[in-house]
Amino acid sequence: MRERILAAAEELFSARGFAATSVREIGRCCGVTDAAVFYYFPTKQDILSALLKGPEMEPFQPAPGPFDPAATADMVLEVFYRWLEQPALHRILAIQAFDGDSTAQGFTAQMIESFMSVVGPMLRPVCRERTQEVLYTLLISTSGAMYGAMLRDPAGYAEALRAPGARARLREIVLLALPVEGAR
Amino acid sequence: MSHRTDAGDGRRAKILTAALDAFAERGYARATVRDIAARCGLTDAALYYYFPSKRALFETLVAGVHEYPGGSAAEEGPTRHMSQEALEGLTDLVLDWFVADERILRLLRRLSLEGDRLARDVRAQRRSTWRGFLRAQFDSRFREEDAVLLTDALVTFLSGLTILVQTIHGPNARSVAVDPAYRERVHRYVSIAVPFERFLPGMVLGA
Repeated sequence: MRERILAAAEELFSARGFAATSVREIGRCCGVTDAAVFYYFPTKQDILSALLKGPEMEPFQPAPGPFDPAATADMVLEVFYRWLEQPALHRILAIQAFDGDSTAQGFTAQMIESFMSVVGPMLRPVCRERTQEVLYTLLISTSGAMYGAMLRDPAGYAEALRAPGARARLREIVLLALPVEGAR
Repeated sequence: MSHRTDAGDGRRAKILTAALDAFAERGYARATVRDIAARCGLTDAALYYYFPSKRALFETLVAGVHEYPGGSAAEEGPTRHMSQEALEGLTDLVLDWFVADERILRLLRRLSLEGDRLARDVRAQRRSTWRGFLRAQFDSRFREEDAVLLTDALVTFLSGLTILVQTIHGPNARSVAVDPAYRERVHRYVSIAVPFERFLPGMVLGA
């Protein structure tokens, strides 16, 4: 049931927007009352948070030997493109955030968590006490790429970011923020 | 700047300020002309005398985005090397401009997310102005392809920064963005995002 609620909510939010979708409608889509929905998700915000959380990513363990910026950049891009699997929801979240909803704060914390757990292990041996700064910088820049594209083309931004040229450019920008090859 | 004391000008300015407040507080869609008029002690009819619609208020507001204050830095000329101080100075310049226009930017961004074309175009214009300014700083000091990459890195970083500060801090975005402790962290992050030292002629990397 929980999965059915999430699937229905994702469709309705993407089609109509967050504010315009009611919990009752989500319930109706699954053949239940709004009370049933609230049993699984205390608020509408909680549904959005659950949708955005997505499947956990495995932390990447670095291969032995010197730091490999290319492999690390690829991991960062993997996290980034994972966000892009739900472009409509991210747009809704951005709208919510600009309308003053604090759900965005929770989500940003989640994004930091993803970077930390997935990319952190690769950076820690070489960045050490600077690891967190590098991770924040990566988060800021990748957010810039995502939101920049979203603002320019809210409907098609995920496509635009998947274009080879855009992907290559983002990879280069990520590489700049990483220590150079052979850094110790 | 005009110093006319025409009551009409004063009232227009008051209305525009009230509109910006209302849009910032309630969002464009939920703000009403009635609310804006009430903030100025006017009736709706009186407000409509100055602005035919809520949309007209928005269009007048966006026409008033500040001129980019980048002039003085640009005059420093191409012989100066890029340095950490220069990079931090550029970052501060862009952040100061962001702070000056923060509420209008918020409105522009919010409306762009809904596909509003005027908002998108004003934003695009504004962005290309400061991007062009930053590009000129790098062009004069690096090979062209490196200048393009460094500019892209800086622009992407600064966009992410200003959007995150708005989405995370909401109405406190401006006070956060002027806080010296925040600026200090931003300076550290920007030195990571834009490692220009790697591209200076004669640099030897490694070790």
